[in-house]
Amino acid sequence: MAEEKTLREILKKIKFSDDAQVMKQLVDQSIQVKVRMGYIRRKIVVMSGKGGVGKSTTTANLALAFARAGHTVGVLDVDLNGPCIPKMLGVTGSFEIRQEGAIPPVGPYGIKVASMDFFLTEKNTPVRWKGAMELSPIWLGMFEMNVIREFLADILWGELDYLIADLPPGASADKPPVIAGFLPELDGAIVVSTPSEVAKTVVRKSIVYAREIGIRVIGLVENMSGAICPSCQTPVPLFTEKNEGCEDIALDLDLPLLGKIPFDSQIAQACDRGIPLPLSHPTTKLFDGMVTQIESFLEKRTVSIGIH
Amino acid sequence: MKFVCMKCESFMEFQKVENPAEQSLGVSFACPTCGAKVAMVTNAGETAMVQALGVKIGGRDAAAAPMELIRENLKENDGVKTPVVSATTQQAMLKEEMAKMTAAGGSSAPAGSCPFSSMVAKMQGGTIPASGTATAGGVAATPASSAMEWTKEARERIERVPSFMRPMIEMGVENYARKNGITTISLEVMEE
Repeated sequence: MAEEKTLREILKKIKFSDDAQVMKQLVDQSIQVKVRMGYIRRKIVVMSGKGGVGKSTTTANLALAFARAGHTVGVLDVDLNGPCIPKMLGVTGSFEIRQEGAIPPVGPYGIKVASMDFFLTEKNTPVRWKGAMELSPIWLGMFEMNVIREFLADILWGELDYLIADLPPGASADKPPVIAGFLPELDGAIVVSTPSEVAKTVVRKSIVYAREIGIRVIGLVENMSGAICPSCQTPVPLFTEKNEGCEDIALDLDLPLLGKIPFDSQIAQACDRGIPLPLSHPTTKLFDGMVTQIESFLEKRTVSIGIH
Repeated sequence: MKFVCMKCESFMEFQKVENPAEQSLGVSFACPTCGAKVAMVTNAGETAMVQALGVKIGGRDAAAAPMELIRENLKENDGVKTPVVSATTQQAMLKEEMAKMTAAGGSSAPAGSCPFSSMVAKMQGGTIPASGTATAGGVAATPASSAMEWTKEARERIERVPSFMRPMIEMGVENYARKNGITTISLEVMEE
């Protein structure tokens, strides 16, 4: 009886052909993201370690401010399970699928919006996936990574000056590194916090974490920075007696405090209705000011690293 | 991943992928030399891993359709809507599939399978009962665009295919049936 050869011996003799082409498929996916993102001049993420601090409010209003400044803007709602950017920007509809990609609905000032919300018709319908994704957080994480990749690769964003991604909360959650992985040329992150000590504690961690994974933090936005009395227009502290803000984070972690947004029922109502704040509203001007700072930051960086 | 035929000392070749049971993928390979066949069956976790990667087992013949991963894996219920697929895109996709089918001529497809069966199986995710066990029942209403009869079970299955792909699948299955002299589309025909 002939001696059976070992697998090692056999493998030395035969030529491997990659029928499954899994690596090729993954590489093709990355190339498609690269190509699509090549038409977008600046990519920014809005993030925070803490939930409920106003990331989406900040994203929506920054997008409006960039558009008011004459830029072409796209917003990617990365909060896959709690998408609210479409409502805040008053955008409805769905993607139109074409061979070359998916055309996103367009909102005020021509802002292009991509969100899981465009796959849902009922306001009570949660995002649910088929199969084991629904049951296993392990596969769900990997699957959501590919959903984000698909949003980046398949949406026909066209040429944009700014793509702003609204990330879900999480100090060291998976989404920031996912975005950073897909977008090595990411221009930076805007971090949102409230003056609450609880929020600030978590936000500090998310800033450090973002930097550790190579995301440049452009600046900090302080949201709910006191309230304005509707009767006498006097600022009223919301979180602390002395109304300390987020200056301590900015100082400790050496990053600019881009703006302090007061808690204002008009902002909340504008977001609920999907109608931009009036141009004359003080908060509108605050966001316009932030855009000027962000542009200045990004231009300086471009010059300093020699890109013209 | 590859399987090696230890007897012939050669890599086995990918044959087809199917859904043999709920949340399971069956991937078949055959030895090009001796014809020996093996099938690998995945469990729910392994199936989810493949789906989560967004890759197609056996490689792709064509580039992925836009938003394919989301559209194929979003659990359909009353509150989920199907994106609009432009008429020109539908026509182009259909044309592409028909061209593939014509080129295949029923012979270059994976051994013993209709070129559409694996696609239909894959699109239905983990909801297909064990392959080949379904039986045809009463005859359901015929699709408006077709002169062919569909059994109730076959009609129910095709209804589970996302609407933007349904016309293409229907046409592919019916063309296959016509070529083989079949007048009623049953689950067995779809699975062939």
